[in-house]
Amino acid sequence: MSVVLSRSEVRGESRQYVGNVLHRVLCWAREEGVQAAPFPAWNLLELVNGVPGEHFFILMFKNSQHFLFKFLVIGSAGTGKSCLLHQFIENKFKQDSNHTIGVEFGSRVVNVGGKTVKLQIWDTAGQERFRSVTRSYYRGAAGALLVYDITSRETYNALTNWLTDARTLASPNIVIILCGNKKDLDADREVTFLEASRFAQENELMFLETSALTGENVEEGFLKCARTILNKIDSGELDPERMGSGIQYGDASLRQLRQPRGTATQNKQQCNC
Amino acid sequence: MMERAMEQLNVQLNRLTRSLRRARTVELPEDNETAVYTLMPMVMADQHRSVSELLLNSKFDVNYAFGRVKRSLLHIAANCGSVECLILLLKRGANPNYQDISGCTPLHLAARNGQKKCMAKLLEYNADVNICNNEGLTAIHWLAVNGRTELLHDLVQHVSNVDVEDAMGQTALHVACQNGHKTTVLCLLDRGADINRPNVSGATPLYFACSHGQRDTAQILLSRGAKYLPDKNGITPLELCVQGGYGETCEILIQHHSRLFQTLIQMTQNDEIKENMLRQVLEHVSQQSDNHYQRILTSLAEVATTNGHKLLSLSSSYEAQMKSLLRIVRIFCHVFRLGPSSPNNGNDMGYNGNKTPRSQVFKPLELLWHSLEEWLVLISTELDSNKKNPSSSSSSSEIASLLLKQREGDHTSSMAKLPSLLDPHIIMETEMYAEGEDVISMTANRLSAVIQAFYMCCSCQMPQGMTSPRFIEFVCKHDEVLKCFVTRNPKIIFNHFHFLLECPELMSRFMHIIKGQPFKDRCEWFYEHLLAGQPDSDMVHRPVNENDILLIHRDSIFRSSCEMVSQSTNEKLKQGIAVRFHGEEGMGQGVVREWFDILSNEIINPDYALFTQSADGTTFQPNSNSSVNPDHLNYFRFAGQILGLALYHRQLVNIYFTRSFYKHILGIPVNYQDVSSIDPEYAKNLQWILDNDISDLGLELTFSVETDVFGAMEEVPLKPGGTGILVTQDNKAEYVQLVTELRMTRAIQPQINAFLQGFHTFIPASLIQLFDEYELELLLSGMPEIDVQDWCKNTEYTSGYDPQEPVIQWFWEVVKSLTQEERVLLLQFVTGSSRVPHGGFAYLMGGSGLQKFTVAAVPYTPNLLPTSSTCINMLKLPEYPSQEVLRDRLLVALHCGSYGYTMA
Repeated sequence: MSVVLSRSEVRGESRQYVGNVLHRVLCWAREEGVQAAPFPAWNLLELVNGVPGEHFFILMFKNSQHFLFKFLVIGSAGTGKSCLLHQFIENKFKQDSNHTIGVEFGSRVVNVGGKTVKLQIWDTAGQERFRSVTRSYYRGAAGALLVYDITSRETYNALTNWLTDARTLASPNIVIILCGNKKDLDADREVTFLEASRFAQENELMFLETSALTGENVEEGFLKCARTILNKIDSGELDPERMGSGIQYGDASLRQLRQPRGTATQNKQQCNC
Repeated sequence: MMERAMEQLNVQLNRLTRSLRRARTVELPEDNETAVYTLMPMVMADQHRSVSELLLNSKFDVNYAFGRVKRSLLHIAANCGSVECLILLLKRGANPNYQDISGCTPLHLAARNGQKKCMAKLLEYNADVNICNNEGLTAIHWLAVNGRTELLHDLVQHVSNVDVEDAMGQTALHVACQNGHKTTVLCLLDRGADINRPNVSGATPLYFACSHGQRDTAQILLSRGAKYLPDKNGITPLELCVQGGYGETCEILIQHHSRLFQTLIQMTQNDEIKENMLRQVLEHVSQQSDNHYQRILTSLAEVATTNGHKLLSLSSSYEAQMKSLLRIVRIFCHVFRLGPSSPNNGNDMGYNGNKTPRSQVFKPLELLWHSLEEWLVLISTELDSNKKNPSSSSSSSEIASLLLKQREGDHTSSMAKLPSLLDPHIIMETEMYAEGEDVISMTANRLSAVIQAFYMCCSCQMPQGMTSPRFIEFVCKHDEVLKCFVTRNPKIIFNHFHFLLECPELMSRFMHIIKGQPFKDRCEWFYEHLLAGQPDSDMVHRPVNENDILLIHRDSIFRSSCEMVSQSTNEKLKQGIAVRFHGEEGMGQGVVREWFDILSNEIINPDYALFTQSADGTTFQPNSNSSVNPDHLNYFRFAGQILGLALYHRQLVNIYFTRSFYKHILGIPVNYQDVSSIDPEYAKNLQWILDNDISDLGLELTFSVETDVFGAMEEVPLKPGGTGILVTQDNKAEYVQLVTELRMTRAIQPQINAFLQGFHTFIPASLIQLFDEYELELLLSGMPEIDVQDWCKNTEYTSGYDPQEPVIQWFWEVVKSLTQEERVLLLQFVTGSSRVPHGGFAYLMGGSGLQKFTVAAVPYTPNLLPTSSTCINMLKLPEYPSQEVLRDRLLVALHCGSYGYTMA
């Protein structure tokens, strides 16, 4: 969203007034936690003094999101699913992580291709005994991170089972990205990159090797998945309106800026996304 | 000289007659202050001729300001609408823009009071429309506040800027919107008022309309393109609407900004917003159309499902998520029950597989119920494996700890000695089981909250008062897990398992656990549930309908009460009782209390033969011969109603019943101990049979008793063929039980039934079950005051105790430190009754006559609890080694052992 003030309308007395309004807008934006930046860069004094430039903008990124995606993190026990989530949300490595009990929850708002998307992420327990519980969370997931441990062939071998589960229990359109975690432990590697990427290709998965410890590719994994979903929405392949799609339209209202008083300022609303 | 004097006299005389004729002065006093008070009433009454006459030759300053607020006469005229005086004053040069102490001009006052003509005249004389008072209000603000559109039309002709701001940055449009004056708003908008103008706090006209729920105004603003803007604190108009519960205004907002719908739904998660207001709004919006209804409920169900899943993830905050889930589900169920506005919402009750369109809205929730099921199955598996491997689990953990110790002690040798036992598998298994316990304790609360939500959703599809078969099936299926939850954490019952109170069939499964909970908790739960369906039954704040007052005659209190109560409906009586005695003025809680007190005394009045005194002289039970009063069963029903009503409204009654009768009310079977209250001698005999081996005594008792029936002795069998069955050592317990039932129950069965019929109209049987007979007595008759000094003075000691004994000293110190409730428990524990007789402990009755409270010594063995013999009021107190131990043991005995007897 942006406020567009045309210079020709900022004359005389109203010039100072417009400066004040813009100042108020920026203050409001800060209080609201909305990202806002003047464009082109100017300071208010210049504006008041009538600095050249045809238009003044304030760019605003709303906190309010366009979409909400439901994500899953699945994979065998001990592959580092919770650590991946923690790294993604808190931006740090989770020390002394215990076995997840049941299903944990995390969320983060990300910006993908100019759209604000809230990721609602369900981090499932890998242990067998929780399998039936975690399965009940699959339905209505839009995307999934399928995680294995590159230092453990066992977790790699289990991938087929996880994949079948995800494809049958979640929606068939679920977007899955394969994550070979613990990339930092390259010395103990039991699964090669090539092998895994072939597996991914065969099963139409995206593929990344990640490290929850260093944070390498973690953000990328989630974003890649979200981007693919957005593309599918754009191409009409996914319908957010359908129940159980795991996609919801954003919850926040359209925030609009105040129109300055008196002056017949023209307020255009255009999406800068 | 003479002539002049005459002339003066004449003038004065003339004046005098004129003045007298007109009943007022005819000449203004010299000084302004006096003059203005002479003129003021005339101006107020618009007596313009008099005013003009008085002003004619005077030197009075028409702009003279007087009084506390320093107003001129012009202000007065404008304020009162004295238009002729106003014109007169203006003609005489009064300043139309004169401001009083608060900055108000005559124009402001005319505008405020809607004095159309005055305003027009003032404008004619060039009154300045733009003058602000000290609060920054101009005439146009005043008109807008009161919605004087007609005057506004006149005024705006003279106004260049209708957007003039007051000190708060508010324009006329703001105030008009706030007060919902439609025509005023339209008029201002037509004159070019700025529709999106923010005041100093950023509030726009729409914001004001919403904050006051001005539906029509909001509609006008939105249709004229008003923008949806939050104030500087980020509070949006929608939030204001919801906080005020303005459903109609919300609906208008959503009509114009469809995205607000989701925002509204999301608000259910915000605990700062009042639930009842939000519910009111959603209720209204959902009633608009079937489509609205479906959308709201489906969205709510989705939000609830996500919330429920969050609650089940252990890192979330239990408190917050639980409250949020239950709030959403409550709102959901409420809106669902109301149904859409269309008449054909028909009969699709029952949880029949989401077939009907109406129950489609539950579909998103199925995900949550599915997860719930899976969780419970998981926990039951954990329980099973814990049960199957208790030894392996404990032994392996023992091994593990043993190993750890050894490892600490001697690193190398133990490692070498026990390589096989150090198998990581075992250690992992140990962890697993330890974790299994954890899983249950960590999830119990959360799962229980989801179960509560599940119950709410199930039962909102059922007719009121019925439990959904699906839910009953659910509880039966997960019986074991649920019991495990509540045994570990009984608080769960009170917090989440409200369904137990609504379905007795489920309640019985949990009864033993519930009974083990503190009386106070159960009491709270009891009343919370009893009053759940009632609107606030606060007689103090509710006007009483004259027809609902129970008018009681003092001289025939029993009969007139009976009449009045039977005339009223149960619903009304539940809402509240208002009593007035015939010929008396008094009403209110005091009178109600007095009524219950007197009436309960009357119920046990021997003249009615309804209740008979028991052996101890203070407790009562139904009279088996009450049928001498032909109407007795009706009276019993009435007595039951009164007791039920008293309990319902937390009023105490002045009756104490026998232990056995309390048991009848609770539906607990009586035992032979209860006989002692009506026939102590016989009770002793029964006791003796139980205590001694009767096989070699040759008693030749059979399962029958001889009774005096109308003068002839008749043998009544205790069970079919009882006369032929001998009582032996093996079946003597059954014999005692049957004899007891005959004495205690069978003889007064019809009376009991009638009483219960009345009692249950106010107190459901399933609810009263929460208590035992001692607690029921406390509930009905209240906590007695216990005088410890009197108690101490009237206590005897036997078996080696004397008052100087340290144990006895400790005992009384402990008693003094007990709470009132615990003292009552102690009294109940020893005497079987919670009450002190009239006259104090000196008159304490035992099985056979006066029997003082007695403390007897028992040799101490560790962990031995105090015991009692209620027939002889004896406390058997072990010789404890210290006060702490005594206190501890005594409290254990009181809290666990005040009901149920073990013969000691």
